[in-house]
Amino acid sequence: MKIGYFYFLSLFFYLAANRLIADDGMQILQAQCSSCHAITKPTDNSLERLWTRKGPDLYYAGLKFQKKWLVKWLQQPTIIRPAGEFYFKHIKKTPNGDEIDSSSLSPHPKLSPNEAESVANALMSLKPEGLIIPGKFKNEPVNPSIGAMFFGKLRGCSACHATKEGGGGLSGPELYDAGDRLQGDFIYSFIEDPQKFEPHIWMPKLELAEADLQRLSSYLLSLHRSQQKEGK
Amino acid sequence: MRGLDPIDFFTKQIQRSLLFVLVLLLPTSFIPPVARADDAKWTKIEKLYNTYCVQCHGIERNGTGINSKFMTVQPRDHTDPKEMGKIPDEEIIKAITYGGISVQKSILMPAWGKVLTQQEIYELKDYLRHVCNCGGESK
Repeated sequence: MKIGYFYFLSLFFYLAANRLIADDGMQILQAQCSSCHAITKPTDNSLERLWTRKGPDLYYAGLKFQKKWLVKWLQQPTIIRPAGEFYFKHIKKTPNGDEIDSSSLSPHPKLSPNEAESVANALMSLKPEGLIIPGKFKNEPVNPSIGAMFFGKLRGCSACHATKEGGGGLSGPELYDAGDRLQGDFIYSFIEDPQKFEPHIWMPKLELAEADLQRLSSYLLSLHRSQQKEGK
Repeated sequence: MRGLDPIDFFTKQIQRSLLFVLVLLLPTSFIPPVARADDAKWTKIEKLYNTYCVQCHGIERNGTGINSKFMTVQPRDHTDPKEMGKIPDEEIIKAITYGGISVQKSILMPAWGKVLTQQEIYELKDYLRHVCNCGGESK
C-alpha cells in the first residue's frame, strides 16, 4: 500500500514538473519564437502569407519532431533549409546559375539547456487534430539501396532534397538526419499531402501508390546523422 | 519701362506648367494600353512561377535554378524560343499538371496538378509563351 502511494506521488510530481516546464517553454515560445514561427494554426492560408512568414510553421511541431533531436538542436542549431525560408528570398543570379545568397541568411538563436528542454516540451505539446492518422504508416524495413533509388531516380525527391552532402537539391529541407529529427507518421502524412500542413508550400503533392509512400517514409526514417559521419 | 502685368505673369506661368506636365506625360501615352494591362496580368502568375518553378528553372527562367546543379537532366530553358516553340500548348499543360513523365520527359519535373488549379496552369502556359516569346507547334 505504502509503495503504491509512493509511486502515485512520484508520478504526480513528475507530471506536475513536466507541466511546469512546458508552461515555461510556452512562454518562451510566445515571447521569442512567435514573431517568426506560427505556434497556432494560421487563419490566413494565402500564398501571400507563405511569402511573408519568416520561419517554418510550428503549430504542429508535436506531430513532426522527435523531442531528443529538438532539445539538442535548440542548443546547437544547424542549417536544415540550405536556402532558408523561403528559398526565393535567399537566392541570387550568378554567371553559373542561381546560387544561395548566404549573406541574407540569419543564424537561428541558441537556447540554454534548460530553455531548450522547456521549449521542446512546449513544442511537443502542439498536436492539432486531423493532420495525421496514426497507424497509417507501417514502418516496415526497406532496403536502403531500394529506398535511395525511389527517392532519387524513380520518384524525383532528390530534385529538391538532399539525403547527403551534395546529394540533392537545395530548395527543400535537407534530410540527412530525417530519422533523428522527424516522426514516421509525420513523414508519411506530409509526403501524402504537404499542402494540408502548409497551404501553397512549394513541394508537389504527388499521387504516390501506397507502397511507394510506405517505402519512401521508411527510407527517410532510416536516415541518421551517425550514418553521415560514417560516410555511408 | 512698363512693368509686367501680374495677371499676364501668372497666366504665362500656368501655361508653362501645363506644358511641362504634358511633356512629362508624353512618353506614357506611347505605351499601348494592352501592354500596360499585360504587365498587371503577369504579376499574379509571376508570383506562382517564382514560388514553384524558380527552384529548378531559375530566376532567369533559363533552367539554372539552385536545384539544377544536382540534376541528371537539366530543367527546361523557358527563354529558348526555338526549343519552347517546338512544344505544343497541350504538352506544356500536361507536363505541368501530370509531371515530366507524362510527356516522356524527366521524373524530376513533378506533377503540380494537385497544387495549382487548372486555371493557374493555363495561365502559366500563357506566361511561358510570354517568357519564350514564341508560339507552340500544333500537334
